[in-house]
Amino acid sequence: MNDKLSKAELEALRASSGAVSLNSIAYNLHIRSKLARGCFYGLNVCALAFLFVSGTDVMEGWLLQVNAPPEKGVTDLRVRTLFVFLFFLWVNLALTFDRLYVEALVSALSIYLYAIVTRFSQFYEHLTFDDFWPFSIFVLLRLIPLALLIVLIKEELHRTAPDRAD
Amino acid sequence: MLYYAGIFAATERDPSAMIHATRTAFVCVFFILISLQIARRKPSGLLIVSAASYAGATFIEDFLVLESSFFLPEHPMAGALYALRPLFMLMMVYWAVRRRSIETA
Repeated sequence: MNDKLSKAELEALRASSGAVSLNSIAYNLHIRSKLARGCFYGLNVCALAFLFVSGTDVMEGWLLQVNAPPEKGVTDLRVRTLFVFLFFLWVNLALTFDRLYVEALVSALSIYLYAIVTRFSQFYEHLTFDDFWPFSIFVLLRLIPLALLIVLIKEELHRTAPDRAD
Repeated sequence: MLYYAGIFAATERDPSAMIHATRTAFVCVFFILISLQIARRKPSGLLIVSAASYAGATFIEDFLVLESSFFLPEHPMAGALYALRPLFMLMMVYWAVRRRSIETA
């Protein structure tokens, strides 16, 4: 068999027969920084938590504690769940194949910012001082994925930045 | 972007004025940031990707959630712009793909 393969082909075969595939989450996380890995795991946990919770009435029940107005002008929960699911898939697949990863993160950030702004604008004229603590948790829960996304984008842009010409 | 000019005609029957203000603010911010990056000859691909994603999200929001369509154009010009929305989205996606191809090459 060796006689039928060129040296270059043998090298390529050895490179591709390693324990870790180049098209795997394990490899593509390994080549990134520890911070990027942690943020990636955190973002996945947040997305999965949202997907599990959105199927229950937990969020609606919690919103009753805050002086929340009716959901006029706010994106439907089904659409929000659809977006989160789509971006969860896109970010994970993009990292697995190391294609369109930063684009996936930037798109997610753009839509997430829009979702946050529309959600907060729903509250601004209805909040009272009694709602401070419930609303703080509400804000915090949304700021965690936002911060994770920003750190991931910064890390990825730093990683893929072209080398400076010396 | 001109599609959002119809916002002024639809304000009267809008269930929430804030959603229009938010959308207008987002479109203005994207327009200003992309224009600035182009004027400074800096990379603008990721901003265009963001704008295209945002356009897609609002499109889905308006057309898939049938019971709460946020924007109902009344002015004839707004109606025409509304009809051209899918074309506008395709243009944004094409622009984003072209720009990223150039910048990552």
